[in-house]
Amino acid sequence: METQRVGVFIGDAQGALSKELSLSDLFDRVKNTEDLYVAKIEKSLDNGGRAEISALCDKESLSAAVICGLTDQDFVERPLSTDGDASVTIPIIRANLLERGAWISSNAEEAMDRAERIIRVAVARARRARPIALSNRLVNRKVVVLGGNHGAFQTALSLAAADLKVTLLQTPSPSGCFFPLTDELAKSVADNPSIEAVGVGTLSRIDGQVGDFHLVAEIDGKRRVFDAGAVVVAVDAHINVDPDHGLPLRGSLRGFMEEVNGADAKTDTVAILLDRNGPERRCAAEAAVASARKHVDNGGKCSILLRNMPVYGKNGQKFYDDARAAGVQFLRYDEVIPSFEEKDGKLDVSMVDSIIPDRGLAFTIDRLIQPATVKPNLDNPALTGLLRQPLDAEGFLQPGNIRHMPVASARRGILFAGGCHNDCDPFEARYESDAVAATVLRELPDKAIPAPVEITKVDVGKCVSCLTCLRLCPHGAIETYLNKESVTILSSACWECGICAAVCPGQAITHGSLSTEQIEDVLVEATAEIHEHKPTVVFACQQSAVPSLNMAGKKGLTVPIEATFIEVPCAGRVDETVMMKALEQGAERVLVMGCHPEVCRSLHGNLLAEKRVKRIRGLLEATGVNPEIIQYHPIANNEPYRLVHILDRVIHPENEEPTQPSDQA
Amino acid sequence: MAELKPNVVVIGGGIAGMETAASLAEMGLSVLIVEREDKLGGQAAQWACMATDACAKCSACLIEDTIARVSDNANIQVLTHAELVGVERKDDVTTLQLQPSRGGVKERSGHVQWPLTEDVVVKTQAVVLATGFEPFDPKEHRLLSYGHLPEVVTTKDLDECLHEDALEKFLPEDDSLNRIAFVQCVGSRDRKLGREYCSQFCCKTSIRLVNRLKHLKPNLDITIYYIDLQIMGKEFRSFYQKTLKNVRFLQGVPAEVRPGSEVNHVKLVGTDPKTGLGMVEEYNRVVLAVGMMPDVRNARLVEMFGIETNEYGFFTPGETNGDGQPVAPGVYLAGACTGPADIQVSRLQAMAAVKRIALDLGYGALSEATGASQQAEV
Repeated sequence: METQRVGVFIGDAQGALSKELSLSDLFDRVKNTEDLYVAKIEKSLDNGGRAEISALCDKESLSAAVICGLTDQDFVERPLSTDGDASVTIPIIRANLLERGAWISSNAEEAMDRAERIIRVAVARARRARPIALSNRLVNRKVVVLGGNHGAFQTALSLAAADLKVTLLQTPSPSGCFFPLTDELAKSVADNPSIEAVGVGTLSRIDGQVGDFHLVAEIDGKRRVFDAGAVVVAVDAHINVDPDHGLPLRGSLRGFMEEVNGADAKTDTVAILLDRNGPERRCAAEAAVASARKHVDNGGKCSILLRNMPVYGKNGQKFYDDARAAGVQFLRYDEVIPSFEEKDGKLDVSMVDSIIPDRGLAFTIDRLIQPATVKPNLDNPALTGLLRQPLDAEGFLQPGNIRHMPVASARRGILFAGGCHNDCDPFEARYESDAVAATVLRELPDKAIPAPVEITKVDVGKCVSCLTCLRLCPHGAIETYLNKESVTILSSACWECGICAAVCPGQAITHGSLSTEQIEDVLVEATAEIHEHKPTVVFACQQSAVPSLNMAGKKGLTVPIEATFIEVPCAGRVDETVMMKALEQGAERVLVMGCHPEVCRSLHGNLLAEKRVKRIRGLLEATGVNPEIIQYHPIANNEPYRLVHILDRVIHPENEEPTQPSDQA
Repeated sequence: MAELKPNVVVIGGGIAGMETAASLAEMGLSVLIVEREDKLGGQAAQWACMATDACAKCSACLIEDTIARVSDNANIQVLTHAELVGVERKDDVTTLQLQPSRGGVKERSGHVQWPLTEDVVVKTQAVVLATGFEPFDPKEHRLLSYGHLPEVVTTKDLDECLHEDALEKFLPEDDSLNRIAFVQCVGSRDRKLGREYCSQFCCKTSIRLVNRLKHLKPNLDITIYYIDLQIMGKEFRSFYQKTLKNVRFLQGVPAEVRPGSEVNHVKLVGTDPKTGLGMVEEYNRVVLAVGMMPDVRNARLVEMFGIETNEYGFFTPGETNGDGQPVAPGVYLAGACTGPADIQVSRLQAMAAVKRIALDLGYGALSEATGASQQAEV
């Protein structure tokens, strides 16, 4: 690609930067050339600065803009021009010196060198940045809700109340559900004209992307196709309402709940056994307290045997205190589970009270009530494949990744509600169904909005349809069609993490915001010596290392001058080739810094990067080279001190004492 | 005097306020965040990352993520160092008066986000109260010796040491000093103090802290004294199971902390859960798991907006709702100002408020389903 002229816009509307850096010196260093246009912007972005930059970009026909020096409030990235239905926006590279704290140094000359390096690296990146084409995207505002129980029905109603059309595909639930579907709820759904219940069936395919999903389901032996803008998975957990633990005279909590609230309530003596298989589910514990209370109010006797009372929830403690005051007996056991022996149609209970351990307790009850067991749905393994979203550590749906919790997933437009992904009580479930609706409203706007089209590109000539990218894309953004010779990237689903570009064996994928050519350009600048030091190239994930670095700057902490940062959208973008390239070009070391395991926004980008580093270290070791020259370090976005300590340790291993942070003043 | 006219005003720039603002702005509504401190983030901005070999799901990093979402969105304006001093509601429009907070701006000037410097009048259709909580001050518990014995710290203090990557500020680097006790429910579930509620996040916080401490210093010998462990939330069950090898759990919280025989030693006095007899155990550090208290300034907001609090001082959604519906005309609630909530639950509540506000303000009204929705809303 032909190299074009790049703009650098330096501003300091609030004068905060010039307190510490001489802007005039900076202009002496970064000058106008044939391929670089440098301008000072006097106004802040919001007060005319943006318009000024936009006008200058047009006037000078610049291919990309590097914006730096403007203050905190100014670093908003916005398209510089729009025109009717489709528009093209020039890429903006942020090198905001106030945000990018890496230039901070007690030595003014050094600070200037560092600042210049930040700008040069950004300019190198801007050289081959591609213009971003925007097109007005229209979305399908129908939502498919999957599931046949309480959670699914409640979510469907919440979506319908938010002016969305809902297709309710009920799934068979042979295992029962925790909260029985009330007639009232079923009637509300049946009467709601925005909700179309299409029957009980099984989902067999989900293609497409947010705003434009295509689903295939088998209903009554027939194949049916649905279009939707979003899919909410609200199937239940695998619930065994009446598990057989080999206990005598037992009844289910579900049955007991119905009984105490019904016309034929009994007044016998019962015990409810909680926590038998580990900490009780909160819905079970709450149901136990509520029904025990009701039983006592009806004139019966009830004790609850437990290890831990869940008082979680807004009125949890009050609920528990009121039940106790009404006469429900709470008995705690510790290591030993109480034993039950049948005698003359009654049960003798013996247990050790953990509050008064010396005293064994023995009493007689008429019946033992036990709650349902809650386990991951047996259909989850099949569903997880269709959804292209992994299960969590316990086998429930929705990966346990806080960046997408509470209701969303890494695949845009795929949402979760109810027992399939979390244990929550009916109170929290209401919030959850509304959170789902809010997320859908946000993802499916009611008017066409300009969205980027085709940022990351596939070279059809190079693609051999090996599907490595499809397997490793955490966002479900890659599709293949049988009649096509290459994969397709779905731009609304794509988060621009760059994993696909890094893993493609044929190098057929050009990452939109950071192509391999751009990294190579950047490496030329990044590996240049600074203050007679060979630099350490740090590939810094924008979700973790970069915010921590910026925070360090705001706190006035100093990072070693050798550290040269290359911002990457995800550590998973950094492939072996570029790591080796950095070393080849003269970097003293290469560091890759990504998120901690299980919190990568792209689910496994960090793990891929770590694996690659390990592989290279193995190769280096085998060839007799010190493997320490390449390292991977996980970091969070709020660990500025740890970041500085890691850099100090890695770059100056000879210093035994870690450098003290310089913000003591 | 300057006048602003955003669609929505969010009072409080913590996680709940920021999530509300970011989500509404991403839908295209204009939002103003009013934060009385000098920067966004709220209480949770001080929390440290709890990751060990893997993420501990503490969600503290979502603060930074959300600050980025807020900062990047052109539909959001943020005023920090701003105090709400007057409210008036007339013809479906709420008029708010803002003043700069008392005292000077504390942060370095160049790095303060949007500090308010003059009085401002704001006219808006909807106000979201997301004023958060305050951590309990254990000085109220004289017997726990917080503030008297340097060996007694709060989970918040420990969090700050970890945030600075400076464990030595918590515990000297001396292998013989390795006995740590966590005391749960300090300021929560306490009838004497009139705080009978569970603060919901402290069990999780302590368990995460224990894992983090053991990760940094494997020779630590840690005990958690608790009343009832709240093992709730996605994946927390398996996380708790993994913790069992790192910590001794003892039921029953000690009543008193006394000075020990020498510096770095204190005595915990309580009841031995195994024997029911009095018990004295010696530790090098005692960490008090402090609960959530309603913000003392809630009383003024209650007056201004004509809303209600519960017996503990948290805002109550009222009898009829609890899922993001307004508590007074044009007034919505989100987050820990309605009662203890961790980061994820705060976000959930914020999103529920977002849905309600979006609909009340007419977002989605242009869609074809309008007729149907009116029936559904009844």
